[in-house]
Amino acid sequence: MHPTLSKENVIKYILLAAASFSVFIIFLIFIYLFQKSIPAFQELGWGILSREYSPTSGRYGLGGAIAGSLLVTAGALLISYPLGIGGGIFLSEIAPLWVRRTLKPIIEVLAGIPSVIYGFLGAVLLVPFAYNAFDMLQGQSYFAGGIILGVMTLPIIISISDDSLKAVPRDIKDASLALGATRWTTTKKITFPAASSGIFAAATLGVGKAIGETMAVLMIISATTNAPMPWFDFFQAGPTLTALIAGHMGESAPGVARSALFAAGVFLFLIVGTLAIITDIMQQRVIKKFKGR
Amino acid sequence: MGRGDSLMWEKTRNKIGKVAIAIVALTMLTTAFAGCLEGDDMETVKVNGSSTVFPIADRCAEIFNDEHDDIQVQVGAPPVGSGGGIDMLGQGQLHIGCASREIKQSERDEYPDVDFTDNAIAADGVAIVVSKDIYDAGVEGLSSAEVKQIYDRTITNWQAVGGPNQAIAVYEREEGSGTRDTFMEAIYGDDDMTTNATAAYTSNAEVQSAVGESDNGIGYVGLGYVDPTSTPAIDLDGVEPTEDTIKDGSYPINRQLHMYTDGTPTGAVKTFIDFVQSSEGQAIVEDEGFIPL
Repeated sequence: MHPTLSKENVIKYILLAAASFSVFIIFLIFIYLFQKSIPAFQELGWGILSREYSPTSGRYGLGGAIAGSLLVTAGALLISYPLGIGGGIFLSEIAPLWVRRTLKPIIEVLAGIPSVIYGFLGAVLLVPFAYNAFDMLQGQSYFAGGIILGVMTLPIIISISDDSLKAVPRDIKDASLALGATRWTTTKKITFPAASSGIFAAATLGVGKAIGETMAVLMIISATTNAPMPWFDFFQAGPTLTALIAGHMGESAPGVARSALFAAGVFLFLIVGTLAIITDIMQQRVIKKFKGR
Repeated sequence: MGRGDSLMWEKTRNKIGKVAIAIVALTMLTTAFAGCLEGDDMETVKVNGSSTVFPIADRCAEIFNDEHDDIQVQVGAPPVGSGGGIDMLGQGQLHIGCASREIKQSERDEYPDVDFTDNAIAADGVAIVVSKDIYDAGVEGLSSAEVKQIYDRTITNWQAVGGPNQAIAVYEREEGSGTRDTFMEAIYGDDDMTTNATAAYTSNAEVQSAVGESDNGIGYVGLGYVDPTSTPAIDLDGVEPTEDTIKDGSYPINRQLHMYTDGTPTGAVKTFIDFVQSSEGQAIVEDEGFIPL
């Protein structure tokens, strides 16, 4: 008998390694991004937040792209949160079984459609439609980008909301109904709060997906670096962080030009990180609030 | 945890071992083969540079390498851009630096020991295209000054240039694009300027389809991308863009595509450039949508 690692222990260590590996990779990515972006921060200082981005004239302001990314993401979430959470509540609490059984797989397929397909449909259908329907200068706009990103994040939010609502124990709901509460009151006051941590997780995933989406954004809003006038005009096209990186990596000269693109990556990372932390805090608050009563 | 378990674990370990050996063996074999293919008696010609020239260089190299056993032309991917190619040639990392513009004096000054020699391989023109509706409404030509004002957005309505009362959607190529450089050089007199265009795309095809989908758009594309049924080309300063007017230089937005070498090409480099300039190479040039010499 050799001193065996018991099977259980081996598996434990493998799983531990798997978990630490992903943390390690994220850590490495951040270190690498940050290190590569240092020259840009040093060279440009606060100028990195200006709205003028033009590599040929040596200006690398990322302010317009940061504002653009936030605008598009906000637009996307305005669409996907109400519809997504509403859809989740419908599927898990209201829909008859056969409807649920039909819709759920369809929604999951929707989540698997590659972003380039959404981008293509957006560019050939939504962009001309927005142009004609809203009398805009052009269909290419944060507005059209926000709609497509909203539709793209919708399946994730519906699916995870539905799963978390379904995971709420039957007993709790039954208790509420037995006390005379209506189904809606039960959903609103009991099921939804109990499932809220899962729903917040869905929200975070949705934000991450929307802000990080590149292909669809490039195809619908275009790769322009000219910020709209005024900068918050949702109905014009303008830069976003992801489109800026994808559109300029190929031709960027080594030095500050490329470093500025890494800085754009750092800002993306920071925005996603901050949003994740905010949702986490909100989630804790909601849980606390409903536990106390 | 019984004997059976630990036996099973041992079997699994053996299997893992076998797989690992197989992988190592396979890797070694592949490396060995790659070594054979490269060979020492082959002369290598390294080519990189402009993304516009890339498709020509790449297809020429493919056919050229099939015909020559003793010369291997390597076209670097992804293309590093015109400026990058000239830099790499200056640093002695390339035999041929492809450029979609002429070399700048500043670049010659940076590498005083290198005798940058121009070998023209094709001609290209950038046509200004408008939406079919605009063309049909009477805008069949513009002056260079009007085009500049439209791109600066000091003219924002088609009425100002004899068209319908409609806002102008202005499409351009992203910074770093050779097509953009040629356009800016001809219209603005300097390719380091910026415009106020309302959307930018990273390929000719996307600009063409964006202008084609809208009914108030203007854009510029390589001559091969003009589609008279959706995006007709307009005259510039009274000259229609055609192969002839581009070749004789009367159409203002024209350029040559270059393969720069250090000194007059000799040996394998000369053999390849001769091939590109031969009727076989020029047929490829025409196939890729450019104008043969």
